[in-house]
Amino acid sequence: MAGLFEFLFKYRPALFEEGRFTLVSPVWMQVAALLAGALLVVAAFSYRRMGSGVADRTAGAERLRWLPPVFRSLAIAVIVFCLLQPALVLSTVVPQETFVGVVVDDSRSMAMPDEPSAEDGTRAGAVLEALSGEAGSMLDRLAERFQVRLLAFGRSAERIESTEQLRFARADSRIGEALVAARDELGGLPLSGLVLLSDGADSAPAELGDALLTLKAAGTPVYTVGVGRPRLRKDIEVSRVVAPRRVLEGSTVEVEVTLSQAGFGGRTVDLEVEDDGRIVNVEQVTFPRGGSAVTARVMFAANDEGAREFRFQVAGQPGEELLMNNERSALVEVLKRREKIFFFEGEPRDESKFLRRAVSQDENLHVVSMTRQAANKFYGMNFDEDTRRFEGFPTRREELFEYSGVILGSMEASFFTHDQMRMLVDFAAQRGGGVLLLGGRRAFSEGGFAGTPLAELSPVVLYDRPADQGRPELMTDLRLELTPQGRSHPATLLRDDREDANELWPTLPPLSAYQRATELKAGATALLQAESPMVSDPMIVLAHHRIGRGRAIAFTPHDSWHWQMSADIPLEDQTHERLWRQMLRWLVSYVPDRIEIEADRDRFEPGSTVTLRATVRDEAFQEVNRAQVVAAIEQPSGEEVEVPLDWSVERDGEFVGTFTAGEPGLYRIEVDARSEGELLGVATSRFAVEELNEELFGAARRDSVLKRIASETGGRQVQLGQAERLVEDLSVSSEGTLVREARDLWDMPILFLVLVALLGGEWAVRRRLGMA
Amino acid sequence: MRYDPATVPSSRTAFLVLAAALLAGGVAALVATGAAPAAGPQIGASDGRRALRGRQRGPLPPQAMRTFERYLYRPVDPYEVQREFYFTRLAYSGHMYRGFAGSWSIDYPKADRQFMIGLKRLLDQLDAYDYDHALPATDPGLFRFPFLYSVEVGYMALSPAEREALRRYLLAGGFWVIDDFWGSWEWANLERELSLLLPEYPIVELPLDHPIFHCFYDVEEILQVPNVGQGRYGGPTWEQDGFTPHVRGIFDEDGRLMVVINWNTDLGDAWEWAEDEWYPVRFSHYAYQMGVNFVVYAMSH
Repeated sequence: MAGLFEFLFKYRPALFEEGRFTLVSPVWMQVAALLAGALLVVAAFSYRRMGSGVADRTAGAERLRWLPPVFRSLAIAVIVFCLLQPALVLSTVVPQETFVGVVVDDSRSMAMPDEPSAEDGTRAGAVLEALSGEAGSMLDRLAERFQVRLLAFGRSAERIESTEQLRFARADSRIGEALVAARDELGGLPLSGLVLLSDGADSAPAELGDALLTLKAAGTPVYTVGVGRPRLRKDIEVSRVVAPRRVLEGSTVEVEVTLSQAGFGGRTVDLEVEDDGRIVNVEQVTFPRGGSAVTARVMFAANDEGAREFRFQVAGQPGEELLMNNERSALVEVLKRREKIFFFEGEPRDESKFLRRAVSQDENLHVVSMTRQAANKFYGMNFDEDTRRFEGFPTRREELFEYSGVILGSMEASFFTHDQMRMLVDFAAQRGGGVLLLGGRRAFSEGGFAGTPLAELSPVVLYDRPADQGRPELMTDLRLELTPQGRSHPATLLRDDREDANELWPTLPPLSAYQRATELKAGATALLQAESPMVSDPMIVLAHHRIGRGRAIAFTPHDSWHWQMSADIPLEDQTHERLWRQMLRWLVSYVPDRIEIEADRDRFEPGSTVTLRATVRDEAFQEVNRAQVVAAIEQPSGEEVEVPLDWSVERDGEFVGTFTAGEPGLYRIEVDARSEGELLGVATSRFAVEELNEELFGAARRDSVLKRIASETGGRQVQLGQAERLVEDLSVSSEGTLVREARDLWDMPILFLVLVALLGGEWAVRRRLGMA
Repeated sequence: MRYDPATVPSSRTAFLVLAAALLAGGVAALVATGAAPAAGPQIGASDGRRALRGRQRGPLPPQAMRTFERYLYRPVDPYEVQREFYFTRLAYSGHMYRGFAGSWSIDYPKADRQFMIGLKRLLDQLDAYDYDHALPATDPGLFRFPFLYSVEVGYMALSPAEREALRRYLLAGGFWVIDDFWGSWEWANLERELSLLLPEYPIVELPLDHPIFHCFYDVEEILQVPNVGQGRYGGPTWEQDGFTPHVRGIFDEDGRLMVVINWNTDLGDAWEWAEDEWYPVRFSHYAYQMGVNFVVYAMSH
């Protein structure tokens, strides 16, 4: 379309946008031309009246009679227009007085072999050929009119003398930073613009917008020249890994891995999870035939304490164009610490005994229990020097909020005061704790929880059950089955292999339950269900939902201990232990601590700015703004740097500071929060600094980035090999040392075509009317 | 304190008497049923429900049969009500005792029923079945009842099948309270049975600071609880040569208490005759305290 415009109007639309229209002929000539034109028009119309002698006098012919004079008049007008010497006035640069910066992407992704125009087929080859290949190359063309400065960039732009200095081996390409650096490098010179040769792969962590705004404010247009194919033909990429930053030792880690592909639709590949060179899981992933990306949920056990770098990789496939984007890593801190869980049970029963026993050997779970034996007589177990002692259910937030999770057994709602109920809801919603509701004859609806504040915690809809209905009926022989969501959830993974685990559930001894829970609340997810002849709908066995910052889980059977004590279950079987260990770990996963510190990402490139964000809360989990927070960062060399963090003002209890990461390796942050000299708490976290090769991900040419850079800075996107056009665009730029130049428009082909069309039209009509 | 078997007097005579009793029991059984029994009574029903309902079909020895029949009637079917706790008495194989029943059934079911009355009053949150509940070890339904009670284990002679089931039961999480057996030769019998049942786990003395003595009531002293006869008439509290009461236990490798052994004491009689105006209340009081603590401990550890 642009080509057609240029053919008809002699110049590209861009020039019409930049330039100003004018008539070059002197004023007297313009007046004379107008008068002559008017006279001619009058003459043409008088000619129409003379047409009375036409042969054809039909009604149709009569209607056409006015056309010849109109055509003639318009033709005359076109001629007059040409005589007036129309022209386009452009401000163009004075040759050799202005500068152009040619900024070349020198990163590794430029070595991709997806540019068929180049001799060696690579992007780099294409750039080199375009810049300084045969005569008429881009640099030569530019040098005819401009002082050209060549720059190469990875993380930042630096001047280079010739294209021979380009290596295409830098690990990073941060386009925004590079363009601003280039602008600064050429600062003070009359600069027409920057020419960016890149594949558009931008690995900068910061938003491109800031850099573009700087360039726009400085009036530096950027002309972008893209290399590479907008889509790779054959490639598999691990595009995203979402992993928890911290897990308890021995937990099942659940990671979402997004794989993208081109040219491998329908193919099944092995996604391997590696922990320190050891393969801990292999998941088979099948790419959809139609789509390009698939997200796989990978689960594996994190058994070794410390900061672990888990690598997720897909073996290179035959014909794959880029292999370096087939793996990604995630830093997961495997913590060896005891998560405190408070188990409140309303009656002595085997379920709670066996549950506690199942997790008693788990060093990472510390279950403190309080069981009502008789009215107002409680038996507390597992309190130690780390836990406050109390009798019954806590009455103070500090007592309850010290725990990460709460298990509520068979205890009727009427036992709790309104404040205790609210406190338990706040435990989940505000403190972010996990609440596990166990089935039992006094739990859920059967315990009278409907209509109380605690009903909010239940993931299943509660019904109103009058207290005078007596003992609830027990539903027996419940064979548990997984829901579709349950088939891929870590809490239901009772065997190392997912398929084995899914097949195991229906074979476990049947359970029984008092809970008639058949309806899920909006937003809740059921993982297990069971059929019972006593209810028409499937009974919900395991379900969960989020409550504010925390979560609530419902497990409705009351005798899962049969999986430990059954004649059908071998003694060495660990199903029951595993069920509860996983369940309780799930309950307390992602539960926030009072003091937390986090870097904005888990891994950084060397030289990156790391933003540290701490959250500070008091014992009752109220955010504290007036605190002195200092982060001590232990660098890989062992050297320690202290970074004071300041209240962010945006959020209560949030403290922020920055730090520039230098040497590669593992960094440890320890934050210390004090209020009026008193220590509120300490938290630690880790991050890694290493070469990330971010630009190799999404390695196809990113036209959207290149287009955005051009349009936001006032430049244009130019194709490789269109050096002439680039020179022209840069010449008419409003920057640099400029001179005005008028370009004739009278010889635009469109004018000639219009003239021919008008005269031809007149002749045709006259022929029709028999006047020719 | 660790139990040392060397300190317990062993008596060859006791074994001879035991062997003679075995022989006599076997002959009596032969005469009564007209069939040769295997080693001791084989109380073999496939599950708990059938064990009770189908007992007339099972090959129960006549002594055990008679005891069952006497207490056949229970106002509530134990399996229809589905309670959290059943005071389950182990109907083990053993030698005929005092000519009328298996030794397992001494004080059965009155002691059991009466204990439940007291237990339910003291542990009012416990969802317990009100009546007696006896099962043989070979009953797979036994695994649904993780609390077991046994008496007179001096006469116990477990069959290999019972031994295997009981071992499995205890290691899987069951809790076994042994009571009412006296003197060195009865101890020797139990020790022999336990050495076959759980050979790798030693019997140890339970110190008074063990949680089992403090989980509900604080028991500061181990009393010797006499049988009803001696208790009523103020006679000696001991029987045979069992002068000192002991509470001993067997722990698994994780430190979980599996078996509690009350030796030289008779808690069962103290429960059974708690309402008797002649039986000293301090013994009943103590026996209930111990019984409640055993149940609380079993339901929480």
